[in-house]
Amino acid sequence: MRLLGIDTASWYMDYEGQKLMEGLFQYIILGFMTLGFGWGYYCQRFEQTIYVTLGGVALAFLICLPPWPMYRRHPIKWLKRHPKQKSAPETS
Amino acid sequence: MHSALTRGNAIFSLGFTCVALATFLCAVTTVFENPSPVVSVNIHNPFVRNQQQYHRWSQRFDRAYFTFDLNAGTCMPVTANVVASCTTVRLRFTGSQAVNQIIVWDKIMRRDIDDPRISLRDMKLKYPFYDDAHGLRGNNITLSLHWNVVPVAGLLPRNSEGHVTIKLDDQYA
Repeated sequence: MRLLGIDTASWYMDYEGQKLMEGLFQYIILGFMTLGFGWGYYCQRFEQTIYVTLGGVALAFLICLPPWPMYRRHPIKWLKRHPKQKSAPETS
Repeated sequence: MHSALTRGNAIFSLGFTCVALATFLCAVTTVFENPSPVVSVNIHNPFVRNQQQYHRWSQRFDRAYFTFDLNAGTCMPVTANVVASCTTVRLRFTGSQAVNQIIVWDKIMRRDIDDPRISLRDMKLKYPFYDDAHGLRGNNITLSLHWNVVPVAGLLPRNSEGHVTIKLDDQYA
């Protein structure tokens, strides 16, 4: 499948990479929100909290959306095709 | 399955859940805040006249005049959860209706732009003080400062302070 001129298969992460990404973006966004709330409370400006939280979201998009090499270190090892089997068994 | 769109959706939804959560926490920080500034109000030279109203020329109504002094400390706390303060000076009087209340002066004080304190001296009424009939002579009027602190999120508290009551003259001036 192609989306915006990019083959979506090339944006695929392996299973270990998916696990890493899930943990990473949650830590980034929640961390930035906590930081932003603290900073906003310190200077008593709520818009600062929003800016820092949205900055965290932008960073999470940058780090977790593209399939960086660190998410593709554990490729799935498929089994080799059985030599006796000429073609895939038909499903009814 | 775990495509770029799925990941984007997960990041986006968690991000905006966090924005909503931060807004809620911001609202929580001012729940127990209750500003109680020192407000002093004085009324000068009250008198009552029997006058034509602008839009009803055939009849005459009671109209009262006075000037007032108002000094108030900061009735708008400069905290994260504040946008502005809508301040009104309200007049409650015994008149021809069951409840008579009008606004005689008002101001919207924006955070960081306007001075959160009020200092008025010999202020004339910004809006005219008419009764609907002839119910002003010899009656009590009560002047007080009311304000709403408009929050970013959360409750809109209604505060009032500095009630002062005087009695109007029995005679038309």
